[in-house]
Amino acid sequence: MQIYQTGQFRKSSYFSKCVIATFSFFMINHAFANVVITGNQNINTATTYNNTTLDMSNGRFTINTGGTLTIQNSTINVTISPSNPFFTAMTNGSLVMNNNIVNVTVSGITPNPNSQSLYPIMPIQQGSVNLNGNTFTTDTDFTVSLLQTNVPATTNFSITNNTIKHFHGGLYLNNSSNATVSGNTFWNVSFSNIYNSGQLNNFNNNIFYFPGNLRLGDAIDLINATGVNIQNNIISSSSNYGIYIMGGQNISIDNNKIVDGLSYGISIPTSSLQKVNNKSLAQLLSKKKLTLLSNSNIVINNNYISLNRYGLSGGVINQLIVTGNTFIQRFSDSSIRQYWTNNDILLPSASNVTWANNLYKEAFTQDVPGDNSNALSFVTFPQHGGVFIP
Amino acid sequence: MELSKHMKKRCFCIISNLTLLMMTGLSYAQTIVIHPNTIISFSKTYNNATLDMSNGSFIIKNNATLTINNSSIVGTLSPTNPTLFTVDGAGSLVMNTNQVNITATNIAQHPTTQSLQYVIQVAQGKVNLSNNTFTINQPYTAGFLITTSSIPTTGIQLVNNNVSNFHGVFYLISSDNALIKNNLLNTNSYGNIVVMGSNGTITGNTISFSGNDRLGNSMDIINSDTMNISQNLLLTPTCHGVYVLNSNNVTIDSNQIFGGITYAINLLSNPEFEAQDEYVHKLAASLPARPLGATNIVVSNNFMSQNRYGIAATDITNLNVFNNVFIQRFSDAVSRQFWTNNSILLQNVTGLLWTNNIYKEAFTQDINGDNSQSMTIVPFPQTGGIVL
Repeated sequence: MQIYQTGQFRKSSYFSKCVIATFSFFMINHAFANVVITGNQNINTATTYNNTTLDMSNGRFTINTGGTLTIQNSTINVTISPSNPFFTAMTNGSLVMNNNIVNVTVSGITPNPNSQSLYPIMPIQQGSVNLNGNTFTTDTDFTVSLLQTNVPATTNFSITNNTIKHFHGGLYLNNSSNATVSGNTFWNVSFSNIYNSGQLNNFNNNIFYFPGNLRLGDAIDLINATGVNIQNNIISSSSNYGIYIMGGQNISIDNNKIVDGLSYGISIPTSSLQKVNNKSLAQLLSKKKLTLLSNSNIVINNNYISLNRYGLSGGVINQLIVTGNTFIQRFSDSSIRQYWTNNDILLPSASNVTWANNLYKEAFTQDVPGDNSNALSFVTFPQHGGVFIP
Repeated sequence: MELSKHMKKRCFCIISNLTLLMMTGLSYAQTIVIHPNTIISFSKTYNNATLDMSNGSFIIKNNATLTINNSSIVGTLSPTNPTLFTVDGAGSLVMNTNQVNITATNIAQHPTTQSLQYVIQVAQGKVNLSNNTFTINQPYTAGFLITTSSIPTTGIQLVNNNVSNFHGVFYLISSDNALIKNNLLNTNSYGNIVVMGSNGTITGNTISFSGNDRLGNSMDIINSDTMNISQNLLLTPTCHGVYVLNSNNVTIDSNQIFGGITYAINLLSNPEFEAQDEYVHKLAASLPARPLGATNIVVSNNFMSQNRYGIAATDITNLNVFNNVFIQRFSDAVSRQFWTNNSILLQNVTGLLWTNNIYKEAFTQDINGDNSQSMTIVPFPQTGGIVL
């Protein structure tokens, strides 16, 4: 059975209205096999789709004040194009999605790996978002992003156990606080996988495979963020940085595994709008005057930072605590190793640094046959002077 | 001053209650010295206790259960005190949320031979360990848990434990229906998870630096049937990540294996061991003879990055390899094509299904190194090796 929902209610006849109203009665809070959404469907009341196939080739939702859109156990086939620019927008209200498969087909949008997507499929102004157990996939790299908040403050988003594939931008949480982003798997998401400015957010137990999608992008970017907890994540093969923090205060980076990155595992540069602009992150910031916070009280504990080209670097940071981390890298000779593990070079402007119990291990060789004589022991990673392997 | 009749009655009640509690085996915060070969032949529970096992050990037998919860245990392993917990006579050992610190005394480090001392040795009975932390002060000296090859065990559960620095961790030999879940194993040498049995589940474990830069795989599955190995994270194994020998119906799914010195996954039928795998050979030899052969092995959705090699297999019937990611780095195209060529890596494999596997050249570690070949993901073909 196929149901059509269109945005043309006002133009229909009285009879049509009755028929549509009857069908809508069943449609709201009931399940149908196949529903075609056309035009922009305003959600102003509670609306639920369960065990449904939503055909959104030419349709989209806008959730407004008083509206709650709940979609569960459904398959959603949506086409994003200049004329159908999003899947679900929210001016206010509530979006709840559980255990859905969302397939995004991109039409008429040119891939743009070096600049921010103009097409977040879930642009959020205000309201609440709860996404759990969904799989979001797009068919064209470097085109559309997944979710983006903007200037109005949002709070208490819950985004858990989702799989997010091939988007050009994952979760952009501008001015968003108390979010829980946990248990998600990001595959080949370019630009920023998680971007956040806000307070008291938790980014835990996520897996990032190929953040940047071999072009441009980090796994986690924090700009002007305070009280953020980044814990138990796995970041593999980032095209740029694993974790990038600018203007971070009271940040905990604990027990993450950051491996095989093109550049630094963790980078905390001096707060600078110019650097933000150079890194294209300015495109992600909400359109308001920005005063960057200084970096302070950043705790980096118990992380496994392996086979990134570099480990940890930073600019001006006050109160940096680095303890119990394991760094694994491989260098062609001891002078290069000592230089690129020397915190006098990597952290020249950090003050009030606590550096304790950090270990270094030379990575096993990838060469066949190669020499592992330097790779069979842990040595202390000193606060100053770089790593020396006897 | 003489106590009133009422007070006397209250005191009597309190003492009676305390006596009753002690008789039922409940203990309170105190240091308890355990004597050598302390027999547990009736069920016994320690809660919130400090157990001093510097010179002591338990022997659990006669269907009894020893339960230790929320306690601190200090134990010493030595040639004269080679085991702290012996489970025999259908007994059970249950440990929840304990901190266990082991000191090895008079045991020389022997990284390339098997331990003679273990914290827990199971002859006949059950073990259920959850949310404990076990550490030993000297690496390459003593192992953690071993069952007996000649006496089958079943239903051993090891969940959410943190085990560090032992020379051998979970050796479940002739052990069926084991659950090894969400444990953190760090810098343990020799075998970390060794299972010989059937219907086992190994899932959600994080194993860091197995082999401890000397000798040891993250997982050894030997002479086993119906094993599920899923969602484990293996970091920098000194030998193999997952080593499967002579086993049937094994699923290796959604594991992540990073930075290993050799193969991420090695599947074999015959004991064609290299010298470094001698410990596996010895363990396998202790079992009753089993027909050689390995069939129905599934390797799916694994992410294998920066191990020197990816998957190798020898003498396997029905091998299904799909949706895996391989990240490696080679100095030249010839080496890459050779070491990713299944005609070389998979020997005498029949019934091979190889689909949707992908390869990416790892980013360089060289400063100013060339990443021009590292910016694409290519299919990993069934034959012929990778050509970028």
